[in-house]
Amino acid sequence: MRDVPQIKAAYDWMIESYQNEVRTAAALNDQLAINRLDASRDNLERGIFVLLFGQFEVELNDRFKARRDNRSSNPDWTVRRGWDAPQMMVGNVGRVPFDTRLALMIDRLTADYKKIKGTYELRNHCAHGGTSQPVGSIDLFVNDLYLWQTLLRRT
Amino acid sequence: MANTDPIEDFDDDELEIDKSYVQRRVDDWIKRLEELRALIAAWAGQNGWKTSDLTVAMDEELMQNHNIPAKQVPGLTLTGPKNELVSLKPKGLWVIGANGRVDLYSPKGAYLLVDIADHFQPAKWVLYRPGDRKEGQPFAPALLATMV
Repeated sequence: MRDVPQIKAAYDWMIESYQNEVRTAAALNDQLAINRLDASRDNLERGIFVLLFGQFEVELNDRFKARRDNRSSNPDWTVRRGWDAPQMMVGNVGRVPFDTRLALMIDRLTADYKKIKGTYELRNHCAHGGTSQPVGSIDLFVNDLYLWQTLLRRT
Repeated sequence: MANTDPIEDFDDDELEIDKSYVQRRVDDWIKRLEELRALIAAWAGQNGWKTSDLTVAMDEELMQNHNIPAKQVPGLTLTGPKNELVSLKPKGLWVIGANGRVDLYSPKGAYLLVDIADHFQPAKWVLYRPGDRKEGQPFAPALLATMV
């Protein structure tokens, strides 16, 4: 989550340009101009969404790796169990499926788990050119990321 | 096996995302928009603002995928006591991270309302101004007066 403030600051800086232009267009009731501006904003926000989610994924990976290394080296098998399975003991933890990493850090029966997993799927869909969905709110999404970070820190 | 669709974000894994479900979501969205419009129109009438209805086309990807015809959904134009204009246009139901978004355009720029409630629950609208670096505010129509 190290770069979230910088990414958010870059977004805020760019969106202020959008705000300046949309104020002018709104004053003139120029709907065509507003539509053009919004199309650009939608693309920008989808890109920022992908970048921001990447920050959460880095945090998840780091905490998962630390937990895995700790558990898998425990001589007590009841603690080590599952964490030292061959598919978990990879150098690059990104090769462990996202669902698995997430489910070992956040209870998969919770609404938070489902929301994060769903957002991950949207992130993939977005990153591969598959979605035309706009982002609800980048500000709201950043709040969600910090909430999810808190969940990771609690485990 | 359930027909999951990445566009339908984080519902239950066993949820069947079929045409009937998508139609229910669309109907619920229109209902929430109508309630929002009525709430704002009531405030406007009590505070010297004029309103005129507007409609926006809704033809989102999930509707197209399930052969649901495009709809016209309710928005609103408000004119303040000094002829200030604020327009509310539904942006979309399937937006990333919320259960629908409405965009507002005013002399102070663009704002947005996102519904943070769960699907099929009463709406919880939160107001943001992108770029303001502030927390969102639970929406009350009186906030419209701060946009002009």
